[in-house]
Amino acid sequence: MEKNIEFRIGLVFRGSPDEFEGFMGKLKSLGPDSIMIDTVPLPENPASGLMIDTVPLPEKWKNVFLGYLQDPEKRREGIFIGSWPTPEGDLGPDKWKNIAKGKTRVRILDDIHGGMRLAHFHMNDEIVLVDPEGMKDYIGLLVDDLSRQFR
Amino acid sequence: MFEITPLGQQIKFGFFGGEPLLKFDLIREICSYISEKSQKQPHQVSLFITTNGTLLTLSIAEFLEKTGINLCVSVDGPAHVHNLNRKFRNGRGSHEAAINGLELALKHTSNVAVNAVYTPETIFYLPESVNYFLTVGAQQIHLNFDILSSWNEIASEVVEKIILEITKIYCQAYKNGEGVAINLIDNKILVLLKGGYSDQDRCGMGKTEWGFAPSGRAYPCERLIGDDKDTSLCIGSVEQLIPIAGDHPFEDELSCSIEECINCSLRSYCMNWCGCSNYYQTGDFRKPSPFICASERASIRSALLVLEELRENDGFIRHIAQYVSRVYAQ
Repeated sequence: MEKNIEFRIGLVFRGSPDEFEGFMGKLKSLGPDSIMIDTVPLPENPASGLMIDTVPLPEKWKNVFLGYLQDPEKRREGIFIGSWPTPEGDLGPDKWKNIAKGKTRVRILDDIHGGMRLAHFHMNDEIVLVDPEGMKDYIGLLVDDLSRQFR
Repeated sequence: MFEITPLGQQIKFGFFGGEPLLKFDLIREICSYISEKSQKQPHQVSLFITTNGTLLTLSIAEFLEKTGINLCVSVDGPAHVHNLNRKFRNGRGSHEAAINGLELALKHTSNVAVNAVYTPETIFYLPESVNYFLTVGAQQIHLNFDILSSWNEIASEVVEKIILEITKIYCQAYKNGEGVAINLIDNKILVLLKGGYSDQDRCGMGKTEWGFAPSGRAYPCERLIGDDKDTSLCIGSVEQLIPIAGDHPFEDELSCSIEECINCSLRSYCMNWCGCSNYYQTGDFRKPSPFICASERASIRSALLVLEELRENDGFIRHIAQYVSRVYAQ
């Protein structure tokens, strides 16, 4: 059958991380080709165009960052950064685990990709959300790492 | 553009010159067409204009604000700096008209930046110019070197010293509880945080990026248009673009070929891939000049200094967060 109808809708989810996981599961059942919630630039990625809007997060994370899915090739030791890919020098998994301590995590379901509008990094199959204090931790570690590299 | 841009990617349209406001009616017409197209296509569109400010009026500013066009006003600094290179045809300096335009823009539009182009003659005034912009209320500052000038006589130590002075002004602004955005520093901060330039950041010369002259001729970058008389770099026209392929000089422009760059520890954070800057400075799209190298080194080190100094500054963290959010939200 010829596809001649294109219906677009904006969608906002509000609920807990667990509910969000279930919500994403339902979206997944529709199949990526059926969903165009919003658009994100994911060049040469089959999931390009799919965005999940995670509005229901604590106020302190509002207007913080927009993350986007990185090339899976950049994953190292099960950890990579959504908004902020690790630099060449790499901070090492232990430091990332320290930054992740106590932070909210959202599990990633297979085939559901991207566009988290908040600072986050990825640890295995989880997204770890980064608040401004976490960002300070990240900058501090990064500065130490880069200072060693450049001097 | 709408047809060839992959879904989900943003299309950026920029008006520049010469002076684009000489053809404001045409700009309005083009914006209307883009708006009409973008309502039918799922692309995000952003518009920006770079003007010398001398023709800016309240009604134009209101149109730019209503249409969501990002505005950049070219002012090189205080009058004694600006008037060295920016004069009316009668020889009179244009500073007064330009600053009136900038002040009008700051008052009536929400997203305005100042574009200061520096030459080998005016680079020494840059710290003074940055302070000047802050006093007139311009907090988004773009500092761009004149790619057509010869920079061979400017020593790398001089570049480093000047950028360091600007960095001190930048840090002091945040320590004073104020804010400032300076492209030379902010761009490098973002690149450091990201871990280096990604493929999407690099030039899309003639592949995803084009400059169109008033004649309709197309070039692989707006900065390669020049006076539109040297058509050797022309890649077709607004009606028919010539695809970049094979032995075309821009085909491999992204890969810097000189050994010093390949072995440089700052390689990931360096804009040595900017084809038009390289071309005008060395005649080779893939070869950066010593001046570009010095500028890049100084900017990267300054960005690191800022991160070291302001890592606990709430205003700075907020600035970077909002700035990044805006960049990636576009």
